[in-house]
Amino acid sequence: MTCRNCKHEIAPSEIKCPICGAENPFGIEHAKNMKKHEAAFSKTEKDVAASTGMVIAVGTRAAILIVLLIGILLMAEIGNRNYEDPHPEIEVQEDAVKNAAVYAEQMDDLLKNGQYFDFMCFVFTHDIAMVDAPEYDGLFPIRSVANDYYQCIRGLEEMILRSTDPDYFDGLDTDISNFCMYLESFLTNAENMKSRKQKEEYPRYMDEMLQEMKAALKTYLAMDDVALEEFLEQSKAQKAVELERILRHE
Amino acid sequence: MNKKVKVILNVLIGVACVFFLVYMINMFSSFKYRAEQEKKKDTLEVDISLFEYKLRHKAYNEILSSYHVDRLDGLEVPKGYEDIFRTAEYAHTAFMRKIYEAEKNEDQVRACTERMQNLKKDMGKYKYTADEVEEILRNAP
Repeated sequence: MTCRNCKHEIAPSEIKCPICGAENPFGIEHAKNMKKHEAAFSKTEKDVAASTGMVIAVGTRAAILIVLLIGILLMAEIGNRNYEDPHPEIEVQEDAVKNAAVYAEQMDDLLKNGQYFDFMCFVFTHDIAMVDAPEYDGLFPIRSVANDYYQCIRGLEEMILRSTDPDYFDGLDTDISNFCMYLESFLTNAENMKSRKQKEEYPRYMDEMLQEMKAALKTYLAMDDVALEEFLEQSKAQKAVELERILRHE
Repeated sequence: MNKKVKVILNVLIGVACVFFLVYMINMFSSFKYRAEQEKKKDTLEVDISLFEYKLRHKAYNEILSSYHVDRLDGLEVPKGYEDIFRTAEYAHTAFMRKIYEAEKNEDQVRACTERMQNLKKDMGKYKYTADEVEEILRNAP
């Protein structure tokens, strides 16, 4: 552009003509506009900086929160694993449901072979009594009788093989009491459970268990048939007294 | 708006810090608990000495009682407990054999005899317990 006064060539941003010193209204306007824009730019720059700072602050807090949450979850998991039962009942029961067909067959084999004691061990080990599976349907009567049989055999076994050392703890009274309780339960169950709905061979197994129990009592309590029948007819208390007399050789 | 978010996040971080501390204490306690459980599991030495104490007093009833309780956890023999289980199983089998003999159940008597022979073979220094058990059973009641 040219100066209005001397017509000399000047830049549009010049406020005055460098030759004649005349004012350049366009340059003055331009300078005013530039000041305004610079102020606006400076304000925007500040706003952007403030907003970025806020974003960084929020982001940092969010990151800290996420790290804390991950830490909490990890520690909760580690804690739970350490407190976990190494042999949870639930796993045993899940296993019994999963392998119900195989276990039912194994139990049938034990019963068929007359291994009633081992049958009950199997039931206990696999928690069969607590499991609901169609393969175990109708098992309750035989399980109930076999449980009493198992407890009686265990009781008798422990009474016969107890220590006779006078310096050793003598728990015979308690053993006799427990044995009499289970024997009563066994004799009642072996009769009553036969009428329950179950596999047709189970009542026969119950009879076999009863015969085996009688044989055990005759063998280990030195009774003949008559003495055994008399003993079985007695009340629980009378049985306990009789057992104590026999086992203590009184 | 951003300030509100900041305040909310500060509160959440505070709460998370409390939970963090609680779970950290819980985790360290769980390590201690685990170590104690491991220690408890390792009772083999005590169990062996208890077994020998019971043998000195011929308390086969208690050996059998522990054996039956242990079998409830599983039918497999735990490592290191072979001698205890063998002795108990021998006593139980010998006890059952006498019942089968009285019943004249030849198959079961044969099975028991075979099992007892096999157990006796592996009894090592506890072989004498087989004779002791048989003597007690012979003289019962």
